Amino acid sequence: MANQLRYILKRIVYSFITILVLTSVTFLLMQLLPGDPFTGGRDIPDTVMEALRAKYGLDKPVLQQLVMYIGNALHGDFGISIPDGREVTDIIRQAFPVSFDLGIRALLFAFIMGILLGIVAAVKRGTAWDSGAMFLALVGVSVPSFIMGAILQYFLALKLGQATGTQVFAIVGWTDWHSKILPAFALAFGSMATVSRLMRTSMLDVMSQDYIKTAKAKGLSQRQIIWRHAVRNAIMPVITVMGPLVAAVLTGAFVVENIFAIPGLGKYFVTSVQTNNYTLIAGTTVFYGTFLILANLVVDIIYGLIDPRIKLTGRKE
Amino acid sequence: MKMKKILAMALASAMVLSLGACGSSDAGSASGTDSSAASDGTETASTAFPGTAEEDTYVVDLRSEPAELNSVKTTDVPSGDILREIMVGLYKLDENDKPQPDLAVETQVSDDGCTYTMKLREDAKWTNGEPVTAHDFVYSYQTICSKEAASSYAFIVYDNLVNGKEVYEGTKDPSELGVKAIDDYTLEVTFQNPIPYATHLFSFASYYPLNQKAYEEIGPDVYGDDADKLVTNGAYTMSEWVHNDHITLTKNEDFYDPDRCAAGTIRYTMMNDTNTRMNAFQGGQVDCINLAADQIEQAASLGIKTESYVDNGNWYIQFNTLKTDKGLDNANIRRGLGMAINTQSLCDDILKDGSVPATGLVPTTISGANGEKFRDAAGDVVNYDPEAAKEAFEKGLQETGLSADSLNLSLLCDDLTNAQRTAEFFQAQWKENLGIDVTITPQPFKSRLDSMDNGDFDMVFAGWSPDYNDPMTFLDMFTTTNGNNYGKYSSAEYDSLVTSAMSEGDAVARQDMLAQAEKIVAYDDAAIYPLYFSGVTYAVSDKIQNMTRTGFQEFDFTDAPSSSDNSGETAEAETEEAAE
Repeated sequence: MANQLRYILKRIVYSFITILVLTSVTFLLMQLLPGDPFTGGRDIPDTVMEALRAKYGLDKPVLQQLVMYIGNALHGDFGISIPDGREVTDIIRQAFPVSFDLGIRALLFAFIMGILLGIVAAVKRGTAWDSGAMFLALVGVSVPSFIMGAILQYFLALKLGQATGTQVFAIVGWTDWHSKILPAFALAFGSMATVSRLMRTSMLDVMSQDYIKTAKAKGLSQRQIIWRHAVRNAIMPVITVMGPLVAAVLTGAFVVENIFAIPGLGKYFVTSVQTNNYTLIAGTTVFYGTFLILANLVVDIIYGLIDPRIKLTGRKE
Repeated sequence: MKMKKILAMALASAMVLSLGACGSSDAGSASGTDSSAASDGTETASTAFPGTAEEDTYVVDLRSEPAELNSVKTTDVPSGDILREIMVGLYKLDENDKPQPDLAVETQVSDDGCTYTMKLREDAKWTNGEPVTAHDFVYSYQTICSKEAASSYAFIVYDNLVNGKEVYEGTKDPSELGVKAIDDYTLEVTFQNPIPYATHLFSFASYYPLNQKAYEEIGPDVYGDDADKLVTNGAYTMSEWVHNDHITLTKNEDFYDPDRCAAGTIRYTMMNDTNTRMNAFQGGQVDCINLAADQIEQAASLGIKTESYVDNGNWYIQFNTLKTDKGLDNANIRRGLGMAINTQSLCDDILKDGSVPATGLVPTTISGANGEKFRDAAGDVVNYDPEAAKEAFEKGLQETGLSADSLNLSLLCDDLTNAQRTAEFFQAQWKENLGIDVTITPQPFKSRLDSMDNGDFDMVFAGWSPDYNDPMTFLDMFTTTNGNNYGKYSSAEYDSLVTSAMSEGDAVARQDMLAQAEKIVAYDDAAIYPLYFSGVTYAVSDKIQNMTRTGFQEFDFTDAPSSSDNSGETAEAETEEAAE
C-alpha cells in the first residue's frame, strides 16, 4: 500500500513537471506566430498599438511575461482573453462543461456499444454477426466525425423531421435529449470502432486460453463462461486505450461542436490560434493538457486496481 | 477448417472492397450534401419557408460571437449589429444608410462647419433608470481618448475632435477635448476640420454615449462581457447571452419610441458552418442566414427567398512598388496586370454571391456631395480591357527593359477556399491575356497581414471595408505615410490632393479633389487595381419584415415604420412642395 501511494505521489509530481514544461513551451511557441493579437484588416496607429500592448503586458520581455503568467496561473488567474476582455477562467468555466457533457456521452456510448459489438463478433466468430460488426467497425474507423455529423444532421435531423413533421433529433444546439443524441453518436462512432475491434481480438485471445477450456469441460454454460471468465479478462486491454480515447474524443469535439453549433470549448481552442489570442491559447492548452495528463494518471491507477497482476510500485524490477 | 479460411478471406476482401466503395460514397455525400439536396429540389420547390415557430420573434444568424459590446472598445461587425439594436446615439442610420436625428433633436452647425451644437431629447433613459444626458457623451469621448481604455478605435475619435491627439497622449487635460456639455441636454462637439460625414460618425458605435455610473460600477475591463454587465439606452435590451450560442434581445418598453422595433424578440444564433446554417434554415430553426456562393443556386432550386446587397467592401490587387526587379515600380505593367482580369466573368462565374465588378476604388454605396453617390459623380475609373492591358503591359516591359518570362510574379492571398479559387482565376486570366505565369502564395489571414506589413510580397489580393460613409475612408489609405500603404506607393500629387481635401470646406470642390486622387491611384499609377465590390446574398423566411441589411448596417431591426416616421415623411413632402 505504501508503495502504491509513493508511486501515485511520484506520478503526480511528474505530471506537475509535465504541465509546467507544456505551459512554457506553448507560451514561447505562440509568440512565434506571425502577427500579434491586435493586427486586423486595418492599420492601427503606433501610439494606440503601444497602449494596447501595455494594457495586456505584451510590452515586457517574453521571459518576464512567462514567469508572470505561471505565477498568476498558480493562483488560478489565466488572464483575460484579448479581443473580448473576458476572463479565460470564465470562458473555460462556461464552455468546458458543455464539451465535457458531450465527451462523456460519446465515451460511454463508444465503450458500451464497442464492447458489446466486440463480444458479439468474437463469440459469433465467422458468422454474419461477426462480419456485420466488423464492417461497422471499419466504417467507423474510416469515416471521420465531421462527415458522420453532417450525414446524421442532414438525414436524421432535417430530412426525418421534414418527413414526419416532428423533430425527434434537433438540427442544432445543446439543450435537451433531442439535441444530444446525434452529436454524441457522431463523436463516438470512431472510438466505438476502435474499442470493438480491440475487444474482439482480446476476446478471441482469451477464449482460446486453457482456463476457458477447463470451464467448458466442467460443464459451465456458454453464458457463464463468457460473462464470468472471458469478458472480465478480455476487457483489460480495452481499459488501457481509455486514456488516448479521452484525448481523441476531447480534441475531436471541435468539428462536431462546429457542425451542431454547440457552444463548447473546442471552438475557443481552435480560433484562439487563428486570432493570436495569446492568453486564450495558453489557457486552453494548459487546461486540456492538465486534463489529459490527469485522465491518464487516473486510468493507470484504475488499471492497477482492476488487474492484480499489475503492481503500482515505483521500483524498477 | 479450410472452408472457413476461404470464407474468411472472401469476407475480408469483400470488406476491403465495400470499404473502398463506402469511402467514396461517403466522401461523395459529404461534399455533395448540397447536390443531393438540390436534386430533390423539385419535390420541395413548392414548399414555403414560413420560418421559426415562435410568435413575434425573429431568429437570425450572426455567424459568430460579438467580440466586444463595450462601445468604447468595439471594432467588429457582429458587435456593431447588436449595439445598433440596444443603443441609440445622436444620429441613427435609416434603411438607406442616411443619418437621421435620434437623440439629437436639433442640430446647429457653426459657419466653419467644425462645431456641432445639439439639443438632446429629454425622455431617453438608461436601463439603470438614469436619464441619458450630454454628460454621457462627454464621458464616453473622454474615455475612448485615454490610453487606459485600450481602445483599438481610439483614433476614430481623437483624429477628429479638437485636441484629440494631445488628450490621448496625455499632454492635455481631458477637459480640453472638443466635447462639452453646455447643460444637461445640450452637447457641443468641435472637430479639427469640417467633416462632411459628421452625422454619419454620430451614428457609429465609437460615438455612442456611456453611462459613467454603470461603467465604473461594473468595471471597465468586464463591461459588456455578459448580458448583466451592460447598461444600455436603446430600443431593445439584452435579456440573454449564452456565449457562442445565442443572444436574445427584447423590446424595451421604456424606450421613447418602441414602435420602431420590428419584432418583440430578436434572437441571434452563432452558427459557424455554412451547411449547418442551411440545414437549420430548411428545418425552420432560423429566419435569416447568409449564403455561401455554392448555396445560392441550391437555395433557388429549393424555392427559398433570397436577397442581396453590396456590402461596401472593395477587393483589389495591391502591388509592391518596391519590387523593381519584377517591374512593379512601373505604372504600365501594374495597370496591364489589373486590366487583364475579366471582372464581369469573375462576379458571374466564380463569386456568384451578388458581388459586382469594380468601376473605381470607392464602392457604389458611398455618399458624395449634394446627396449624390460619389461613384456617380466620379464616373468609371477602371475596367476590363484585354487589348489595352496587353498594350500597357508590353509598353511597361519596354520601359523597364525586362522580359515577360523573367518576372516570376507571385500573388499573395488568404488561404480560404474562395480566396484561392479567385486567385486561380486571376492566374488563368494573366496566362490568357498577358501570357505570363504567376504563382499563388496562400497564407492564413494573420500571416498574410504580417507578410504585407514586412513588404514580403509582389502582389496581394486584399480587401477594404469603410469606417464611415465617405470616399476619404478609401482614398487616404495610399498616401506615402499611411500604415495601410503596404505597397509603399508614393505620389506627391496624390498626397497633396488628399491632404487638401481633408481641410476643404466646400463639398463639391472636395469631391473633385478626391475623384482626381482616385483616378491617379487606381488608374494612372495603378498602385492598386480595384476588382469587385463585394456582395452578400442571404436567405430569408416569409416571416421577417422591416429588416434592414445594408453595407453599413449588417442587421437592423429598428426601422419599423412608426407614427413618428409617418410624420417625418409628411414633413419631408411638405418641404419638397415648398421648394417647388
